[in-house]
Amino acid sequence: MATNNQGSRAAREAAAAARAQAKAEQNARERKIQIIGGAVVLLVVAVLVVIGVNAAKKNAGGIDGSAALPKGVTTDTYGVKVGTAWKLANADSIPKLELWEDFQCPACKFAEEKSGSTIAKLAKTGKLRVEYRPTIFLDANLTAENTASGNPDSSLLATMAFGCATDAGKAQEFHKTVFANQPEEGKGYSAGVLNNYAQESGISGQKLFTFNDCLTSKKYNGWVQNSYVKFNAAGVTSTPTGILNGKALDNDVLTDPKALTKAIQDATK
Amino acid sequence: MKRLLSHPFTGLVSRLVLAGVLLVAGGAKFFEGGFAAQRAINAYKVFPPAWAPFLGYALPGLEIVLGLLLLVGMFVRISSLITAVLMTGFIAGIISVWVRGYSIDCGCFGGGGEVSEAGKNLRYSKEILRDLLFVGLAVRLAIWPHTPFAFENLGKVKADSPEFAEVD
Repeated sequence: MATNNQGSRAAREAAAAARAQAKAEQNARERKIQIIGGAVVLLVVAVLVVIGVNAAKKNAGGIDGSAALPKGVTTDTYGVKVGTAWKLANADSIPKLELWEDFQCPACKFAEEKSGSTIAKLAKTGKLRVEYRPTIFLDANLTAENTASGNPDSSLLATMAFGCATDAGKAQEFHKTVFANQPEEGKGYSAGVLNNYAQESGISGQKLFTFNDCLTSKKYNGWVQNSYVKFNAAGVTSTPTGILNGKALDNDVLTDPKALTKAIQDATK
Repeated sequence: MKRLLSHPFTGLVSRLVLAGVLLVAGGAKFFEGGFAAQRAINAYKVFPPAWAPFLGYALPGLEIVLGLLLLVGMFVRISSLITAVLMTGFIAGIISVWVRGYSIDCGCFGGGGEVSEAGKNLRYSKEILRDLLFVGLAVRLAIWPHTPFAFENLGKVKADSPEFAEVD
């Protein structure tokens, strides 16, 4: 009996040892697989980080410091300032309206139709500092339609033309004319029609030649891209966006001349 | 019902569906380029605009990593747990813009930004239902992470277990 017991104990111990060894091997194997998996994950993360950082750098550092700027445009905003108020001694106490717009945006056309003349009048009489802040995000949204109609990157083209018109001293007029003639969404602008709008805005003679040169040479491409970088950095997600003294206006206010005038009066100290 | 849910084959399907969704959605956003992902994130008005350039790459990047892990079947439990949390976050984001009255494109598969009000409620409902389904699949995988044809099975092979013989 005793030998039998001893035999079965030895067998049990041997079996336990075998199990323990199998378990240890299994653990080692599991760890090996996890290490391989973890290493591959780290590799993928590293590749994604490199791609992401490079792309983000391209965007954030997207300001082209050597870009030519239209008359009066400064590198802090890249916006087009219109009106007499900017040059007054007490300019800082006069309300400032920044308008983010894309020349292909139908809602911007609507806002210009409703409030454009009111804004122009307040700018002219020195009661409002107006700054047009162009963006061109619709070019990406309308790539297929723009290309199909033969007018690729129409927001960019129209905004470059806006810069050229600013040099001619007709920023506000050109702004108004372009929106008044805005085509059906997607059709876009050709250099030819923008030239017509320049004439309609009162640019003529030598200045019209200069405008034409400026547009066809894409002189202000870099400026427009810089303004677009500012748009994205500002976190503005739709156009039109009116910002009165740093505070975003409700679009119901922006498109209602009475409410807008009142908001501007309230902001006047 | 529980038997069907916990069946390894159901797990495989859940894993591959989630992997596909994550890779397509993450890839579309990650490689969209330009400012699209930033604009999509800014449209939610949840995070400060300064965070958008980082999140615009980090969130899609995380989706790609989770998608790859689920595709090959590595660290399935932890990946599906993170996926469930991420998707719940997306649902919370959509509910939050809905409640605040914004009309945006969720930017789930690229795109994003503000869009017209038309069909807003139906759009948000569909997006939430879709994401709820994904949360369900992820939770199922977190509870029963073992699935066939998973890379991590290689480490779990028992020589005497016929169940895994084919994987070895």
